[in-house]
Amino acid sequence: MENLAIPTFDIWAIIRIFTLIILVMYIIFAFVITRQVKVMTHTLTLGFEPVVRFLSFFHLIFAILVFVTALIVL
Amino acid sequence: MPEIFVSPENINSKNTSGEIRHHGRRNMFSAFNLYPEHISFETREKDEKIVLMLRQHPIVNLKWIFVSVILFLCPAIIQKTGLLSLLPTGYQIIAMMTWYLVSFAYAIEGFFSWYFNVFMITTMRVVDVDFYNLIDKRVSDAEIEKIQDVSYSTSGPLGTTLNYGDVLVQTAAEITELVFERVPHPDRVADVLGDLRKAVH
Repeated sequence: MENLAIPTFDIWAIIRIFTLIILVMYIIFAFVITRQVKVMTHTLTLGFEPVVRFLSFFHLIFAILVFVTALIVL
Repeated sequence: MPEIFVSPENINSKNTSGEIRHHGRRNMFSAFNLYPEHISFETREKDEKIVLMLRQHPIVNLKWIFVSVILFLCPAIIQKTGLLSLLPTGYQIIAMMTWYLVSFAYAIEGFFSWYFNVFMITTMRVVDVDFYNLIDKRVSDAEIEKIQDVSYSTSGPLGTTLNYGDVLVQTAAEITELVFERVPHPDRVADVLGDLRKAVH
């Protein structure tokens, strides 16, 4: 008897797409944080602005790095 | 009776050595800054002087610091249990990196919420900057002459021991109530506000 052709799909391919979508959304969130920090450091001068800005930029760079790594390894 | 609020001009005139005396620490992480230097805000006017800058008591940071340490330690614990080995190698790397990313975001959110959540008392008004989270903030202010009532409260064993509490400022301005939450020395804050009100009226 001939085997039935059951359409199969790769579950990991779907997980990969969802992971990448979530990481893109996270990058947008990280970008919004840098904007918010910029506005806050403009509103308030408290003497620690360079470090605070660095922390928000580091977070954004880290988010981009995770996305790029996901593109490569997944 | 000891003076709680002394204007900077008076401090200068009283000091015979010619040096300006400063109350409190002028550390950028200080939660109670009298006559802070190098601190300002966007809408400050030229002749407006900051008398007091407040943040929440540093003890409030313990929660996010503790949770952050736990979050950063979690991947090592999970790795020992072997749970991650159920995933393909690539997903293991991304899961780890994402965990550290979110943990880092949590830690900076905790720090920013404390650092940017400031209350300022100037010679003209009271400014309350609320940094709720990484995407929500609110800045409100009320003129000193519109302040109708100032009250403060300390509660709980920690608040009583470390002398921090809430200062409630009721105003006749558009924003009728400003609350300085968990600030150090709420009694001194209320005294400063009381003295400023007397000076204005």
